[in-house]
Amino acid sequence: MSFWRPIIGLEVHVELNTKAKMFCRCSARHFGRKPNVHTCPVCLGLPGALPVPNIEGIKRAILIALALGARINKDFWFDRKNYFYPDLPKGFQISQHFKPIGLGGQVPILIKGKEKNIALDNIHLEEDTGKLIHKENESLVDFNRSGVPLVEIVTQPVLSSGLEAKLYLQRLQQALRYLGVSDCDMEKGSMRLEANISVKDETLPVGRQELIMKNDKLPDYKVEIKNLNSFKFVQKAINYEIQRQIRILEKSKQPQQETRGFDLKKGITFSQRSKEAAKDYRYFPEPDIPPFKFSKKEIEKIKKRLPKLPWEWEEEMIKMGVARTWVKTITKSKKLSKLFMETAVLGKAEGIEPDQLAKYLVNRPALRKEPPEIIIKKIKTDLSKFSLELKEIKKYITQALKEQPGAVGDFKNGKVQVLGFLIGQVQAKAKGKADPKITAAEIIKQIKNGA
Amino acid sequence: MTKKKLDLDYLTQLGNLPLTRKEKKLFQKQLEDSISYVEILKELDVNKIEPAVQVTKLINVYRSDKAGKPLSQKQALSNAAKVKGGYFVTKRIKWE
Amino acid sequence: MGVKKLNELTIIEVQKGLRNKSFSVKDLTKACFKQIRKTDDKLKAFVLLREKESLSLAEKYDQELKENPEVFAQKPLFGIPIAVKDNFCTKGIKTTASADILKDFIPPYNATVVEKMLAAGAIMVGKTNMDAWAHGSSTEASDFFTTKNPHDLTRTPGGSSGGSAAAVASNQVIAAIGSETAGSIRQPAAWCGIVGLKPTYGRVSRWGLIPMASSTDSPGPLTKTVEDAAIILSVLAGKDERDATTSLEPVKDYSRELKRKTKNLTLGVPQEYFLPKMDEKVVLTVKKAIKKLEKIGFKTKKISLFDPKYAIAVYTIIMRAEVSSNLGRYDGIRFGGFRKNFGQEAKRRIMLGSHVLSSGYFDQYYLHAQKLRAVIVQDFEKVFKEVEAIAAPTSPSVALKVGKAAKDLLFGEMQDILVEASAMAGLPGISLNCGWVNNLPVGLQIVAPQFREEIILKVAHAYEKSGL
Repeated sequence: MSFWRPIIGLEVHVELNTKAKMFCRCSARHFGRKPNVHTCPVCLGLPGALPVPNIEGIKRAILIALALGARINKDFWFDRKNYFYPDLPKGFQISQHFKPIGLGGQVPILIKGKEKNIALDNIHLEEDTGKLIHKENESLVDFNRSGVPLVEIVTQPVLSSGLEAKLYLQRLQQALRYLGVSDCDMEKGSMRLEANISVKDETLPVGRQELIMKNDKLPDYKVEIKNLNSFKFVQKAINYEIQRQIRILEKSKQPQQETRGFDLKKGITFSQRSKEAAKDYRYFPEPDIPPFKFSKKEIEKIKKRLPKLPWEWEEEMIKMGVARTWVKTITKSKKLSKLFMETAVLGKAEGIEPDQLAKYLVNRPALRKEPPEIIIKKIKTDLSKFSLELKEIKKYITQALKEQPGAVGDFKNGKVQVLGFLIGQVQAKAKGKADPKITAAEIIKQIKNGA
Repeated sequence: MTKKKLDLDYLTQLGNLPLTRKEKKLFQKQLEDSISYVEILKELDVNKIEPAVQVTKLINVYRSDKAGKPLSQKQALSNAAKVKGGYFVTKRIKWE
Repeated sequence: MGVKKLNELTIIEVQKGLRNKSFSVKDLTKACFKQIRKTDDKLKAFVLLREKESLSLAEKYDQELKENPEVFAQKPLFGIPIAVKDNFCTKGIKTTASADILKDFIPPYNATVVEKMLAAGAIMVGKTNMDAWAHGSSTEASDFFTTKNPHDLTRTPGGSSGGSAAAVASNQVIAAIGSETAGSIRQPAAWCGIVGLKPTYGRVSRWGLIPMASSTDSPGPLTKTVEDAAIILSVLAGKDERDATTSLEPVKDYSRELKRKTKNLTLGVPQEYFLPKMDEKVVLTVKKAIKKLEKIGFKTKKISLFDPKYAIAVYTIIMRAEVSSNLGRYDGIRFGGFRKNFGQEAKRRIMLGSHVLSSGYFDQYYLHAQKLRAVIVQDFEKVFKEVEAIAAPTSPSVALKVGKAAKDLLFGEMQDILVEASAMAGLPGISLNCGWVNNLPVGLQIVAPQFREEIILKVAHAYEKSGL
């Protein structure tokens, strides 16, 4: 029996929402604009133009690296990545190869109830390319996006399924949104990714009990999947690709090292060109940009900008006694998390438990638009409306059932609508303070138990 | 000095340079001669030395995050061989 | 000695004349165009001329001068007709780098150097011819035509700033702007018998200069006198927000500095720079010039510099690597023609550059060369502890005949052997005329530490003034 281990690495590109582009003063807010209205000699790659780095792009890249627990290369520089493509105006991309800003790091995910840290390889800063639109007989190029700052986050090849990849991406997106460095919107293209997939044969030898020692050697090939436009597609594409590679490996052949795209309609990956020469990027240090040396103090200053990260919020909420399912929903948004915390403080003083507050915020989205004081007030009103204790409710129910034997009999005979009448009877005694849901359940219980 | 063989086809791919067969033949020899000349550098040992990429000794040069005035669309397109609806036009890219 | 024609004047003489109302800016500009019409058919220094615009601007300036006779204080180059090498972007005016691919390129912006020259009142009469993409040392590699040497029309003016040098040497203009990667200002200045100043790398902004080797390119002036070069340097030097490699070093008043008395200035004379294969007469002429410097009052000392043959190899590798990358943007989509129209020299450099950067070769070529570059830098630093400046021949020969370059593939590098090391180290250097061999000019070069242009200007000015 073969045991195939998928080996997956993800490269995520995130557009930073700085005001200006990374190496020139053009506006970086390009989405939805007319073509080629945010360009200048630099980002258009005109002869004689020179790049000057945007400090905010650098600081945000450092911030991301710190948030993800990476080691910061305090001495770093930019490198030229040389290749040809119509959307790359200079014929090279200013990126980082030798000294990326961040090394290592990890992103914690929760998969099937267990925590797993996805190890990162590096985090580096680079510039975006222009956009290509393909028509039937020609391709159109728009350079509004050329030069926008991009942070690339590269994982180690440690993911092992489409689901893990999806969870990683959701987690990464959440963290970056909390940092406020990017919209991270897959639809708008401010978050893009590529997956590198291989499959390794870790078959148990027939007749042997001991496992093969997991060796670190990676397969000789890897397939790059590009143009994945949503997390859902990523999961589908990866799972398809894994199976496709397994089918080839089962025939004792090796999948070709290549770039593939994903056809959503057919649900399959398909081959795109890949010349080997295209992958020889001839990296060398960018001579037009002097290197950077950050001091420990300067890094510490940037570290102070670090907000609480989603997993830190989660930990805190769980410690406060909030159920995981509410935590997951609330922490989807930093704004909501903040609102929750603020309100929880007030709530505690008014006797409202954090878990209860969380439940309300999740189930009543309208509440989220209110300020904390109003939220508490509304919850209190809600609770006080049905403030009767269970003990009391049970007592009134017993009384009411005794008084209404006919209704009880009707209910036992299948006339379920009589329940409402019985609830009414209980509410009359309770002066309206009995929670209708709880009352209904208890009535049914008592009738069943032979009232 | 041993002549180093150069893979001209690979280099023309790297440089995106269409060459005629005649040019390839001519350049093969010329480039190999040039490379032979620079082999003399191997006579020198530079193991412990840091490369000098920046002779200015400048560090930390940057600009603030402020947007400025761009070129107009007209200016941006003014030198293009072919434009359409505000876009630059090139021949259809085959692999996407 | 006859009266000089207007176009034969220097910047300082022009300013005197304009102040004294001896002539107008329009007279001067007209004289330059008269000379251009007379000589450029044969000389071919220019790829583009702007006669109408220049005369119209000259008229405007004459009016301005009338209203403000002290305009020279704000505009040190007021009314000076200049030529600009065609690798500097000029807004709305064709800029080609003498390359076929750029023959129709009209930049939507000005190079900083052009901005500064125009703001200082200069009148740009035209753009000058060069080796295409600055790949050469004779201007024969221009995709358009070859410029000739004004002293002998069967010879080249040197390169790559050959057009600018020829225009100044033949008095078509009062001064010109060129650029140097390794020799492209100093060598043509030497071959044309004029002054060529290559400032420290990072002293003058490269914004708008079509790059050859990004890590050594330096814009600089070609002039008739050292004083003129100092004036232009003061206009051009300074930090530019648009070029991250420009220095914050304060800009000195170079015109004042060069007149200061020098005490105990020692010039190093590197024995390695008097090459065995050099023209004997050139060697003699330069040695005589160095003796003159001693007579003026400078001390000289024999020094030893890193063997220049290594500098050629280092330069060849690094320069071609950067060229192969810098020429990547010419894909014919946003501007310019297609890559198949690169000249042979450009194609060779792109391929060799790609090779030395490619996977498996990067360490043994590019990285190795950059380390040696550090050694060259340290070598000069060591020498400058013993001496204040270095004096040597600019070129191993006088101007060569047209056609000589085509036969030798590393022609450019060999010709520039005496200037490559200092260019790689980013040092400032000047070349000035120090004699004649077979009626052809011989260049003497002075090199100083980074940002010490005043030293080379002082020495060169003293030599020039001495009339010895």
